Amino acid sequence: MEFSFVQELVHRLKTFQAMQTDVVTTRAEQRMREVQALMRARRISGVPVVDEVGDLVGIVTIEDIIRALDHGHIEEPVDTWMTKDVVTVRDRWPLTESMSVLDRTGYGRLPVLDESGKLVGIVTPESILHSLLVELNRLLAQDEEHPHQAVDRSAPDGLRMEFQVTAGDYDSAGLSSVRLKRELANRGLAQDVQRRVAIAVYEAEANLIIHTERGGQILAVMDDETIRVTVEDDGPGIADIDLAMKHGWSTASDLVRTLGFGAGLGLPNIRKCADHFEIRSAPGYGTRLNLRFDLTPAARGDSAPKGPAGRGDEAGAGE
Amino acid sequence: MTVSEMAQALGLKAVTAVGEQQIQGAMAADLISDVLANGAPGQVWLTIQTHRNVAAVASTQDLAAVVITGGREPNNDLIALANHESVTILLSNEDTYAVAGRLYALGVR
Repeated sequence: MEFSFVQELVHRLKTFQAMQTDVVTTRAEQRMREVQALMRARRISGVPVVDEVGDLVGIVTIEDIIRALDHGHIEEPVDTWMTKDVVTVRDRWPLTESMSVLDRTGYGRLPVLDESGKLVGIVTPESILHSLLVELNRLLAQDEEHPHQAVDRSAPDGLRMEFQVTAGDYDSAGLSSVRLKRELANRGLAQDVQRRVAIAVYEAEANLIIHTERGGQILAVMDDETIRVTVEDDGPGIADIDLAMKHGWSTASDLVRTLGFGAGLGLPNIRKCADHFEIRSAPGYGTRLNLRFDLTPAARGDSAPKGPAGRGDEAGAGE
Repeated sequence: MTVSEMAQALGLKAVTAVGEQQIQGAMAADLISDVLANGAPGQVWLTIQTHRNVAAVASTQDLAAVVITGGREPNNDLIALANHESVTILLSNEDTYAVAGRLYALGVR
């Protein structure tokens, strides 16, 4: 049981979430002796070699150092003794893939490259273990906050809706929120909760359409006590979250503004609507929103009438 | 006042079915985000926007009706989604300022 839980965790993580980003590097024109000293001082077993623009050109390993020492060439430049055929992994690969490369090659550290081939980090067994512990801690904190979540993931009246949102598809903004809202209305939730969830999802949808490179996903899960909404994209990420949370601050284009978006009200409005709001973002990698809406008895519509008054009377309404 | 009473009083042209919902206030805005942030159920929304998002926003906020001002024509996507979501869309040849003034005079506060 525990094993499959850890497997699930590993499957969810991407390589960039498990890499160490403060990488010690060297240049091809350095002396092997200097790299040896660097490795001893930092207690590392391999140093990536990069060129002037940060592209990976090789790696100096302990074996390379030993070979150079054996032949009395430790004063020679890195260029002649480094390993040029480097096994690397990519930042967006699932962590499982990078782990199997570590396993297959038996190397203790693998350079991580981004899409353009730039060195962005290093994965080691230690960095992977660290990322798993961080993720476990986060999940434990969530379960402590809402212990029922751990046991009851599919309540009888539960609802699970997933939406793929396409970048640049301005015309479709609001379609996910409208569909979700209809489902919530069908389940008799109070109008106030329906609206708050729909508004938050609408704003999140608009953000994915306006700001992301490849769109993103929205997942809404409802059980007896909460509605949880997760919004996830893979870039570009938010450089300054505090600034993005400010009223009126926006990076939207003129076209977007002409359509009536990009007023810089989105994230603050989402925070206002949700009972719990959490945002995590890393420039270059994406943004994740975790929202929670609490379903009090009144919100569940236990006593309140279902839906807004008068709307059922409209002539020719509906499908 | 109901939506259909308002439509009659202001001579608005309907492009969807017209609701009988009671009007609870109004707002004038062309920023989608503004309506999402500050709108309230039962309101009439005056705007010059004509794209499909208008119906999505009106449905999200449970607005009573949308009045598109300035003689602008809504696109077909908007009308289709509005019909699907039971959103009332009305058109006025007057600009937002004039429609807002007349609504105010009719007692919509």
